[in-house]
Amino acid sequence: MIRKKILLIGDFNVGKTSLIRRYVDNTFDDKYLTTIGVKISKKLVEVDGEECELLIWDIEGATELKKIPLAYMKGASGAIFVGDVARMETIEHIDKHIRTFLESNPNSKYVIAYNKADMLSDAQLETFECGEKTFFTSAKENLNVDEMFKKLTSEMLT
Amino acid sequence: MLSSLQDKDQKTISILSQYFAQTLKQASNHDSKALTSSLQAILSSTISKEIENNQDKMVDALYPILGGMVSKYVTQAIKKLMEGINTQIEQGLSLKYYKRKAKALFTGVSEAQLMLEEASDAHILAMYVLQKDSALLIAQAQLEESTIGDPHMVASMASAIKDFINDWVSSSEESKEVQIMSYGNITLYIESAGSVYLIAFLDAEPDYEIREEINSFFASLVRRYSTFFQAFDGDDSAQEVEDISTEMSVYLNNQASLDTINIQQASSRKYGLWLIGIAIVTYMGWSGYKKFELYQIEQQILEQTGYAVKLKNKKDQIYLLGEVKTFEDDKKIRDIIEKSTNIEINNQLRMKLPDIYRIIHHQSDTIQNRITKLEAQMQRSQEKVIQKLHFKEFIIAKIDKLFEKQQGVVVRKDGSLDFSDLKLFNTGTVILNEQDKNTIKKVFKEYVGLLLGDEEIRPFIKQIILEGHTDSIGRAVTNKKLSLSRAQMVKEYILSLNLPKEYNLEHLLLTQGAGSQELIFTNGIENKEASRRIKIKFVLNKQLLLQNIGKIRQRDD
Repeated sequence: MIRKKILLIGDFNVGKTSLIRRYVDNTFDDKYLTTIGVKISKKLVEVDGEECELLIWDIEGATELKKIPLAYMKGASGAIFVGDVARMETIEHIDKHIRTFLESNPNSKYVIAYNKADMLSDAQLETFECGEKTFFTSAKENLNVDEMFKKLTSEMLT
Repeated sequence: MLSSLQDKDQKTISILSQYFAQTLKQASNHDSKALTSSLQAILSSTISKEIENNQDKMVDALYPILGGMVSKYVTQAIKKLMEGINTQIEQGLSLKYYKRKAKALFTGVSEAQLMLEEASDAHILAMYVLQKDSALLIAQAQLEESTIGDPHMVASMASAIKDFINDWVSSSEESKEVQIMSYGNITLYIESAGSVYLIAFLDAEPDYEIREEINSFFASLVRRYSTFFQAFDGDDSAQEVEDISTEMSVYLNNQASLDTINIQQASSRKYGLWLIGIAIVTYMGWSGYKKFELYQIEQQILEQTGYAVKLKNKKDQIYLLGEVKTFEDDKKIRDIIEKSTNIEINNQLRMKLPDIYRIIHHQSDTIQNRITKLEAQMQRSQEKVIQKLHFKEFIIAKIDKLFEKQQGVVVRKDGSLDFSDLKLFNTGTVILNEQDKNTIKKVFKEYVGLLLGDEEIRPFIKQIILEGHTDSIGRAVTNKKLSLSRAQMVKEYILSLNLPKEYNLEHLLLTQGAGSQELIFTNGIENKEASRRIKIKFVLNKQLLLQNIGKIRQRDD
């Protein structure tokens, strides 16, 4: 069995924990997020007949005053960068998070989640710049959550 | 020259290197000091550069050597510490000191060792090897009885917690790493080496011996698998993972067996001694407890009576020693002891002779007084009984005395008042004249006043009877009716009087007609005027009298 460490990174209250709650098989209590700033969950993903177990590090949301601990970033094979479509500043911060992540893990893969997509209309969503690594997600509507994790896993196993 | 060689390209270095061996040999023969100095400079620079570029690789390579060296120095330091402890315990005096000394004597283990053992007795339950950066679990082993949850998640979380603490601590103390994390009965001992951590889960904080054991085992793993550890990419299907897990599992089981054997050997060797020790300790404990119990009773006696008596437990008896002034105090003390314990009391309390004489005199006076009082009480009771037994005579005597000077009324032997002298009624009539009424009124008031106004007599008066009489003229039946009418007429008159209500005369007064059965004769000839009359009588409640006598006797008893 192949196991990979992946991170969920994004600003405070962009819905990272909700995305994980939608997705995982097993998780620690949410209290760890508020105590040590990280919570670890586990999910078994199958991509093209190959199984991979993801150890997902849900890192407490970054703020201006509180940066993400670099020690948590080390050794991650992949990352999901999450922003809230209703708060543009959280989308804008994603680039900065990606740069910080790649400094520690230059060969790692990542995807981007524009989360809480259910809160905007299709017309509003069309105004966002999207690439093949970008997913409009909604934990509430279970939109693209599985697809996004599978895409990242596929990238990591390549 | 050597320094400048560092900056050359790989090909140049390769060509030049083959000439170095010979050059170095010659240089060594010529001036060994100068050569050493030159090599030191280049080697230091090379190692520094390598550490800077490949820190983890260098640590992996050096850990088995440095780890052993560190262990050796730590062991030496611990030995010095143990010597220090030995010196300290030589100077110390405590129960624990003697206990430890005895244990060392019996088991042959040094006291310092025992002191350290006292601090820790940890057993390894599980071991994880995980990649330092990713926190991915490379291999793990755990004893069957340990119940650690999902190892991969636990390993990651433990690593995260360690990183969190390291980050926090690094602001105040540099170059420190978390090594021990404890929660409840579980302690995590974390040893770091290059690219991997080893986490040992223990049931207590490990002492230096256990840490040295774990580190030694870990060093052997790092020495053999360092390349694999560095290249580990999360795929645990590799043969190395299985090998490492097996080794760890064997190590864990060996440690567990060793613990069991140690315990068994120690148990069998010490069994007899422990048994004796336990017996002594139990006896001392029991004896101490008993002494404490007696001390508490002594304190109670002192607080409640003011006497400082001494209690001793001997042959299943409590010996009561000391001095008291009165028998009451003696009894109080015995009562306190009996409330606190069931053990038989052997009373050895002393009392001074003058105190005893004083008490005897006092008791004698008290007894005499009580006898006198009892005699008087018995006398009064006897009188009461006699009075009750002759209660009727008692009342009749009072009536006699009351009416001995009263005109127109005769007190009969049964205590009845006979109005025969008043010549109350004409033949065949029931009418009273006013003068007679006044006489009846006066006499009756005094009569009922005596019977019902006296609290001693009143409760026993059952009835007061007005009895009517006729002369011998006429038929018996007619006379019977006439006599009853006369009695009823008098009753109506009496009830019309303003007599005290508490007398309850309406219920007490009865009327009877005696007809011509009880005629009055004067010199053998019927005095018809005297025969036409009424009588007043009283009836006692005999049952109540008997009950009262019974109560008096009971009180006397």
